[in-house]
Amino acid sequence: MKAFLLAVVTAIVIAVVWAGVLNKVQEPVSEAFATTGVRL
Amino acid sequence: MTSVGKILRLALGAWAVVLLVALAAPVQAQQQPNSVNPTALSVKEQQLLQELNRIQGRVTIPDARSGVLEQPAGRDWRNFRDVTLRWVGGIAILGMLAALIIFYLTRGMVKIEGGRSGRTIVRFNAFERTVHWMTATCFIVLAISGLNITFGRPLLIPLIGLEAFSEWSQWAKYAHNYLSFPFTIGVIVIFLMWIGGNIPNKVDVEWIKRGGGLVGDDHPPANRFNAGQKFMYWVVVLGGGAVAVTGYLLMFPFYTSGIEGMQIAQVVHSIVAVLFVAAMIAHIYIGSIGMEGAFEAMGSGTVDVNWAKEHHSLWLEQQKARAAANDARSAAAAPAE
Repeated sequence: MKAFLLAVVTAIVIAVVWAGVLNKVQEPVSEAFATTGVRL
Repeated sequence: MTSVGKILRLALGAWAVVLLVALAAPVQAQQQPNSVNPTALSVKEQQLLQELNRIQGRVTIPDARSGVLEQPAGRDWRNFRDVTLRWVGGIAILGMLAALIIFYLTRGMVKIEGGRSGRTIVRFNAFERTVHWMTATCFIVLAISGLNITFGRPLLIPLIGLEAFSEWSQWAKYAHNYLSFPFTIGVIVIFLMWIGGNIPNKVDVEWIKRGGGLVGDDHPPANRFNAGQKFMYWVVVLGGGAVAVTGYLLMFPFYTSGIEGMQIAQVVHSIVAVLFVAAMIAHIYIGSIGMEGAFEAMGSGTVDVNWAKEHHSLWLEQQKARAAANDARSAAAAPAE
C-alpha cells in the first residue's frame, strides 16, 4: 500500500513538473496562429 | 393584315428562341461538371474535391500549412480513425475480455496446489513496486483518456450529452498529456530494472511447450520471470516506447514532422495503444483473480514459498542458494566463542 501511494504521489509530482514544461514550450492557439493583424 | 401577321410570326419566333436558350442553359451547366471554376462564387466544396482531389487556398495567418483544407491522405486517415481503428480496438479489447471470461469460467483461478506454507519470500522490493504502480496507474488513466478519443463520441455523447462530454474530454486530454511523462519514465526504469531477467532462453521454450501450467496442473520450471511475464515485459517496453515516441510527435505538432508524419504517428500510436490495452487486461487478470497468490508479489512484495515453488522453481532455488551462502558467510565472520 505504501509503495502504491508513493507511486501515485511520484506520478502526480512528475506530471505537474511536465505540465509546467509543456505550458512553457507549447504556445496557446491564440498566440501560435495569430499575427498583429489577426486575432482568433 | 398581312403585315400584322408577319410581325406576330416574328415575335413568336423570337420568343421561342429566348425560351429555348433559357431552358438549355441549366442543362448545359449540368452536363459539364469538368469545367469547374474554383474561384466562382457558386462552386461547391464537393465539386472542388472531385476536381482537384484536395482543397487548398491562401491564408493570412503565419502557418501557411493551414491553407490546405482537405487532402487525399487526410480523408484516408479520417476513415482509419473513424472506422478501421474502432473495429481493431473493439475486437482486440472486447475479444480479450471475452477470452478471459471464457478461460475463467472453464479453468477458474489457478490455485496454489500445495496450499499456503505460511512462509514467504521477497519477490519485489519497494523500489520495484513503486515503479510498477507508477507506470500502471499512469497507464490506466492514459488508456481511459485515450480510448475516449476513439470511442467517446459514439459511446458517451448519447449517455451524458455534448456539454458534459466536452468538459470531460478536455480534462481527459490534460491528463493524457501530463501523465505521459511519468509513464515514459516508468517504462524506461522498467526496461533498465528488469532487462537482466527478461532475455528469452531455453527454459522459456520448455515453459511454452508445457502451456505455462495454465492448462491442467502442470508446473513447468521458470526463473524469476517466466515466458508469459517476459512477453508482457517486452509488450510494455516496446509498446510503451512506441506510444511514447509517437505520442510526443503528436504533442509537438510540426516540430519534427509534417501533417503526413503526424498522421502516420497517430495510426501507429492508436493501433499499438489498443493492442497494449488488450495485453494489459490479460496481465491484470492473471495478476489478480486469475492466479492465487500472484497479486501479493506487487501488493506486499512477498509471495508464499509454495507459490514460488510451483511457478518460479528455478528462481526459488537460486534465492535459497544465495541465502545459504549469506548465512555461511555470516557464520564465518562471527567471532568464535
